[in-house]
Amino acid sequence: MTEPMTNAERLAALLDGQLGAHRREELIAELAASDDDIEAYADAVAITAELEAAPEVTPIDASAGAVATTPEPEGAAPGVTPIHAAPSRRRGLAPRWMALAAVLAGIALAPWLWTRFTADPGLVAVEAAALPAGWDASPWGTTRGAGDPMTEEARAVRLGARLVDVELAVRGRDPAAAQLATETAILLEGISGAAPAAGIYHEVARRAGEPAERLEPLLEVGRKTVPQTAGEEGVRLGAWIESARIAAAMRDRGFFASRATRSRLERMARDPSLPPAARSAVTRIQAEVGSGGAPEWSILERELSGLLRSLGGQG
Amino acid sequence: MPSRKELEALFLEHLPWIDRVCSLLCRRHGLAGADCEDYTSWARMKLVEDDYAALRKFRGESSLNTYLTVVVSMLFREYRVSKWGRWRPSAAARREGPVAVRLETLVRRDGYGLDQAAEVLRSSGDTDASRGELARILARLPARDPMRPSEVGADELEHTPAAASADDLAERHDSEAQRKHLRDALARALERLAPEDRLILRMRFWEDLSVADVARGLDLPQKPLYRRIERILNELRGHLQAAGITPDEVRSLLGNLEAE
Repeated sequence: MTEPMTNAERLAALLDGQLGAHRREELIAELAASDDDIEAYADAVAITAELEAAPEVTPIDASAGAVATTPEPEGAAPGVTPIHAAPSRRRGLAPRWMALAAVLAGIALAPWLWTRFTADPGLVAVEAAALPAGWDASPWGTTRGAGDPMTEEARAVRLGARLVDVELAVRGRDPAAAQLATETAILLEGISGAAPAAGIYHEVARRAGEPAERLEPLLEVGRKTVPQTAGEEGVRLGAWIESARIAAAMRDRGFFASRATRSRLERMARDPSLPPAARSAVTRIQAEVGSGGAPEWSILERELSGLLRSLGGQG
Repeated sequence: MPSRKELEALFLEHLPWIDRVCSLLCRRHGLAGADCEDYTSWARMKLVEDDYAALRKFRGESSLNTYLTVVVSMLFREYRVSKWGRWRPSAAARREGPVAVRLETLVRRDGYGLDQAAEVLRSSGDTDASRGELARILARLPARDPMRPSEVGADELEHTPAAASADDLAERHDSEAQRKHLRDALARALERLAPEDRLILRMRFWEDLSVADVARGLDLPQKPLYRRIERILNELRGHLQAAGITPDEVRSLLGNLEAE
């Protein structure tokens, strides 16, 4: 193999955030001078983001004899002394099993898996490792208190959007995670019988600074119970619109070009239960996405925010 | 020192990860079908080579998955250059998505006509877009220099336009001279930036990484990076103007970058 195996490990350490300041500075200077290494490293960075965001991506063509399976957790095969590896600072690169004593009334939680998001399609539909910088997570203004009037449908839509925000904020260890989780809990407190679900998000808010894999068991319960409590359809609708808003902010053409997105928009455009204003917004979004060229991202963001405001009970 | 058997077990344990990294690299660079399988087989072979030398050299300074991701990415570059020289999908194609990358690869690198490329893409299930839609995508992609001669067969040469008139050649020469002048000025201006600043620009605009990815890749906080990129572009603009590049030329050089 070619020489720079040492470089490979230094670059991997940089990507994992494991290099000290001095070694980092040295490596950056070398990298800036090496076209070859930059190209390869950029690929590695882009791949890592995709691996984290969509761990179950189906390959274009599976290699002969290989099946794209969920990666095994790092660790020793039986009888093999493991090569010691520094723990990754970035959560999510090394899947690991988590055993959990009951969080709420003896609920058993799934182990930490790469499939955690794809196991519940329709909530976090966008491939993102964090909320976009400067993200406006409140298109409907200040979150109302639990006692303020809001239709059930509007509350479900807001909850769906909030679930996406909390998930991504926790992933990115965003300081906003605590506030977002608290707002989710407040929204849940407005639903009769949803106190346990609200309790989950109060707990998430309290522990918001912890690594994502530690909060995953709580979020897993939330993903299951919130739609059941608040209304499956409304929650999924809100989650999808918020995912689309984030995708627009990230200029994610793949999201808007996908069949899943087009199908979703078509269903929404035909849905007689959507208010006329919302259906018009959907039509405008469809026009922008289907224009054949690059979408006007500012228009998409505006229309999606408007849609969320309209369905989430602006005012 | 791990034994060969231990290294072999480790390799097999991480084979699904390795294959997935190969697959994502192939998609990013427009390789599909047999090309992707060839690369994956080649990469596996290189990792096994010399009694799993790559794994043996791992010292634990990073996670093993990240290490393998970087190693396989470096192998991909080696493979790509050996097969196709320095050809890579353009940033514009990557932004358009995997279909555009495949289309550009087929048309610009492999010399397929648009109809042929469309047929290849549809029959492989990569797209159901019409010829017209694919033509519009292709029109948005930059014109590319032809591949190095060793990779171009007689069939592909048929697609190369014949020489134009003397006047056209002169105009092309002037344009090429002008383009070279601007490229050289840009290269010199980039050299004047601090290494990390230069790297930020390179990864953001030439490698087409998102700001979030640049931050992750260089272990920098993301939020301040937006402002920093603006500052670097301003500095670059200043260097170009100091080198006598006209404001219009600067705009044409940097305009596409600032539109990101």
